[in-house]
This record gives sequence, C-alpha cells and structure tokens, in this order.
Amino acid sequence: MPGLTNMDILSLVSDAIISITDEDIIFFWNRSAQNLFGWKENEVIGKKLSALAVPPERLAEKAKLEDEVKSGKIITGIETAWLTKNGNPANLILSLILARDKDQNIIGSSYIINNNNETKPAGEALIESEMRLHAMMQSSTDAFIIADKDGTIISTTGVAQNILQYTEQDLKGKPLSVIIPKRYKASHEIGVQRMIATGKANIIGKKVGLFGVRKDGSEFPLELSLNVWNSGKKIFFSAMIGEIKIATIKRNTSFLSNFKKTGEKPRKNSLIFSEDTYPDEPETVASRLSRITMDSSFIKYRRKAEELQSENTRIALAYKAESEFLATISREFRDPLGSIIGFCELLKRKTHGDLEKKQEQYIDTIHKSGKSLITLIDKFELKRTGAEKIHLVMGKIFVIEIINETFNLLKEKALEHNVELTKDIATSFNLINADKKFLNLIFFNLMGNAIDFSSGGSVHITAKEENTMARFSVRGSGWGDIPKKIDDYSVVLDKENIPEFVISKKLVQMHGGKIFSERKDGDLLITFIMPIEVKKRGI
Amino acid sequence: MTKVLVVEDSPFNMELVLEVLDDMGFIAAGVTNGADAIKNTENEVYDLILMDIELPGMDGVVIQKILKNNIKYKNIPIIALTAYAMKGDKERFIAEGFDDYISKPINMDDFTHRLEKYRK
Repeated sequence: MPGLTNMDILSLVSDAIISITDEDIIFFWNRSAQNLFGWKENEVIGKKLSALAVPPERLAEKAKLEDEVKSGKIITGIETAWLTKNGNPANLILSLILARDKDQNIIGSSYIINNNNETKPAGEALIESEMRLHAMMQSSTDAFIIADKDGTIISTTGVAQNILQYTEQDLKGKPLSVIIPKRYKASHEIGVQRMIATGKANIIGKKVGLFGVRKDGSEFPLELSLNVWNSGKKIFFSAMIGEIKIATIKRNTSFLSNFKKTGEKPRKNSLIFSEDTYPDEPETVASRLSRITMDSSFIKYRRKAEELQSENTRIALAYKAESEFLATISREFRDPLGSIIGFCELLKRKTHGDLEKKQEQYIDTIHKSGKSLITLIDKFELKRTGAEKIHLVMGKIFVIEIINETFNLLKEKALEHNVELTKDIATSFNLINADKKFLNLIFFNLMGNAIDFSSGGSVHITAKEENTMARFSVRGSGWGDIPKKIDDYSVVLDKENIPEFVISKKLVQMHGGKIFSERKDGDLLITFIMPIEVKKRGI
Repeated sequence: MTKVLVVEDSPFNMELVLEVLDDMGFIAAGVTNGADAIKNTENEVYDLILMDIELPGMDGVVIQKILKNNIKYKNIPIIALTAYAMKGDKERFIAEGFDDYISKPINMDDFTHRLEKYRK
C-alpha cells in the first residue's frame, strides 16, 4: 500500500483519484472521486472499477489504457465518459499512472480524473480571450479563417468575409466545406483526418493554389496557407487566404515558361504566381474582360477534365464488368467441360470393356466438341483485355495541340500541387494518327497521376519520332516514391490499384503500341511508343 | 497401395480425378476445402496430395504451406492442380513449394504418366 502520508494528501486534492490493483479491485478512492461519482469510499473499496463506473462500451478502452501505462506510455488527457452512482454518464478527462507502494513496487494503476465540463476555460477568462480574438480578427488586414479540428468555422476576419462575400454570422459555426468546391471535399476530409491522426499535413505551412466558393456559389482561384495550432487539448486550423487575380496568373504563366530559358528556378514551396511578386493594378476594362474570359476558360477546362475523368470510370467499369463476366463464364464452363473431355478419354482407353464402333465414334464426337469449346474459352481468356468494347475513332492529330490541351486540363491540378509542367516536343514531329479523345486521356492519366504524387517539383513530357513510331515519355519527380514500395520499376504499370496506369496501358495497346516504365536518376519515367500511321484495325 | 488425397471443390473435376486414380489402382479420397484436407491428413497417411488452388476459404497455396511446414507431413509430395495455365505458372507454383504442377482440364495421358512415379 502507498505510504499513509501521501494518501492523506491525495485524498484532499481536487482531482478525483482512483487506484486499482491489476485485478481491477479499487483500493484507493479520494474525496473528489466521491464528489464526482457519488459513491463513498466504503461503498467502493474492494469492488471492481469496471463493474461500477465503466459503461460496457468503454471497457475495451479502459483495458487498453491500462496495458499502455504498463508498457511505459504516458497516458494523459483522454476524453471519455463513465457512469456516476445515479447511472448518468459523466464526461471525463483521464490521466493514468502506475500506482506504487513505498518501496516503489508497482501494485496497480491510478486514475486521475477531471470532470470534462469543468475544465473548459470558464467565466471571465473565456470571455476575455474570446473578445481579444474577436478584436484581433476584425482589425486584421489579412483574410483569416479559424476552424476547430472538426472543420467548424469559429472565426473569420472582415477581409476573409469580403473575399468570400459572406457575413461573419453566415460563416460562424458552418463547416469549412461550404467554402470548398465539391470536388476537393474528399481530399480535404482525408487531409484533415490524416492531420488529426498523424499530426502531419501535406499543405501545412505551404502556400497552395486552390479554388474557393463564394456565397453565390461562384468559384474563384485563391492561394491558401494553412497552419495548425493547439490550445490546451484542442486543435485549431487557421487558414490565410488570398484571392488570385486572373490578370496576375496570366502574367505569371509567361513567367513560368520563361524561367526555363533563363534557368531561373521558382522558389520551392512558394506559389509561383503570388501577388507580392506582381503587385496588383486597378482593374481596367481590358483586364476585366480578360478575367471573364479566363474565368470561363477555367470552367471549360475543368468540365473537360471532369469528362475525361468519367471516361476513365466508364472504361474501368466496362473492363471490370467484362473481365468479371468472362472470368465467371470461363470458370463455370471449364470444370464441367474438363469432366466431359476427361470421361471421354477414360472411355476411349477401354479399361472397362471394349466399345462398339458406333459408340467409339460418338465418344470421339463428344470429345472433339468438348475440346473445341475449351479452345473457345481459352480465346476469351486471352481477349480479357476489356478493350474490345471501346472503339477507336482514328484521325490526324497535331501533337503539340493535344499536349497543350492536356496542360490546360491539368493546370488547375498542377497549381494545387505546386507542380511545374514542362514539355519538349521535337520540332519535326507534327502529326500522329490516333483517337484524339483516347490519346488525350492517356496523357491526362499519366501526367495527372504524376502530379497527384507530387508536392512541388515538376512533370515533364517529351515527344519525338523514331522512324515510323512516335515516342512519348512522362517523367514525374514525385513518382520516384512509388517504385520504392514495390521494388520493381517495370511492374508499376500493372498495379491494379493505379487505374490511370491500367487504362493508359490498354489504350496504348489498342493503338498498336507498347508502354513501359523505367528508372531515370531516381525518378520514374513512363514511355509509350505507338505507330505514327496506324492501320485501321477491325476491333 | 498408393494413397492419394484430392483437394478439389468442383464436383466435376473431383469425380473425374477420383475415377482416373481408381483406374490407375490408387486408393483415392477427396475433400473440398483446406480445413478438411488438414483434418484428413492427420487421420490418414497419404503418399500424394493433389491440390486445387482456387478453393473456398484457404487457398491451395496456403494449405500446401501449412502441410509442408509440419514435420509430420513435409515429405508428402503435393501437386498443384489448377486452372491457371499461364506461362510461368509452373515455375511460380514450384517456387511456392509444390512438387509438381498439372493444369486443368487434365490431359489424360500426361496426368497418368506424371502420377505414375508416385506409385508405391
């Protein structure tokens, strides 16, 4: 048992303290525990804590905490709910330490418990801190949004309200998702979850280019820098947003294409077209016009990108359905057919007696028919590429045009990931005969995937002729991480879980081409070659 | 007498394989899943096991590994009997620990010829 003096002190502290043996038997219960839970000391000593105050759904959690403290972990600030004497749940914050006797032998564990409702900053202190925050937010010249860990907006600055065209009351208590375009919601949620789980976030501390949604539903490009901070036990996000003026983007796009020539590299982790590089000018009629045109072209490309994405889904589904159908058919047919053929062969051996000539002839026919059906199934198996349902519409395509088109489609995604898109197209290489939509989809898939894997860095595409073949390569600096996980660079393209690769491979094959992956100075390089002049194939 | 255990979930194949083994003068028993295969191996001494790969529950590769990891059964030859007929499959199954590989549908002459060497 712990030394008496200590126990006397413990009995007086304002935290509830409960000590239990390894068998969960309560051997210490202080006055605050009595106040918190309602049971007196003499009612609980010798009883099991789990049977008394812990609801059934929390038993596993309790056992886990006790295991963890025994393994040397520090357990503190665990939010949970236990039951009081009158059967009501009480929201608690638990800390757990090992209970030792005066010779420092471990004799069990001690819970130090606070009532969760009482530990929140209360009274004047809270009001004062809220007022200070409010005053600070309203006088700020930056566009700030503060949200809690569940993504509920707590406070916004006037500038943020102006950008988003909401009032303060409109935004307070709303989920962050109201100001995020629908298509980002999934990745936003994943990011927040990862952030809470691991304490790490991909975009924390960086500037990223994104889109925001105004009150009227219209979208606008913005740059976002996100920070996370803890206040007591709570996690908060603060986002500083800045509207990107379209005119600024235009200018900086030319900056983007220029720095290749000059060799000037953009700063890492900084948005290439930030406003401080190019101070904004008053909007003229011309720039307003160009803004409207840019706005609509943004939307046009986004729609096109979404269309291509749904084309991916269509191909994947067609492939999956067909391949599942064929797999089932082939399995269901193979076994009985194998049996028919096998028994014919057994009969033909005449181990169980001779056969009449006619009988032998019939069995031969059954055998042959079975065999021909098996051959047919084998053919289906080979054709399980799923590509048969997709028809190519061949035509002459300008290589530069289709690559530029892909760049436009991916511009928004590249902004989001702070990735630089570059190209190197051989001047002599003008035309290719291919299906425009699908060739576009191949580039879109490969480059889009390369961007997805990147945060900063670049995605580079090259195109050239080699005799009668066209050779296209996509190199992504962020891709370097994939093969590390799967050892072999050459099998990257066959990873079923990267549909962009699987679909691109099929589309390249349908064009009579080949696709392969290789290592290049630590990066992954995906190359596909296809005939420049493709004969129309009857598939 | 050579005792053979056939692990196969397709009744069509099971019937055929048991019939052929019977014709060859082997004593053959059949089970349709991994759990029964292991239970049977505990109760009976087999000279050879023919193992389908696609089985409900544990697949043939797993069952094979369980048996080969047991000192009591590790000397029983196990032949993969499978509908997989891809190039390189044979090497793959041998690498997994199988003693041989026969693809389905079985070719009668090849099948009997290959099993002959396991006759006791």
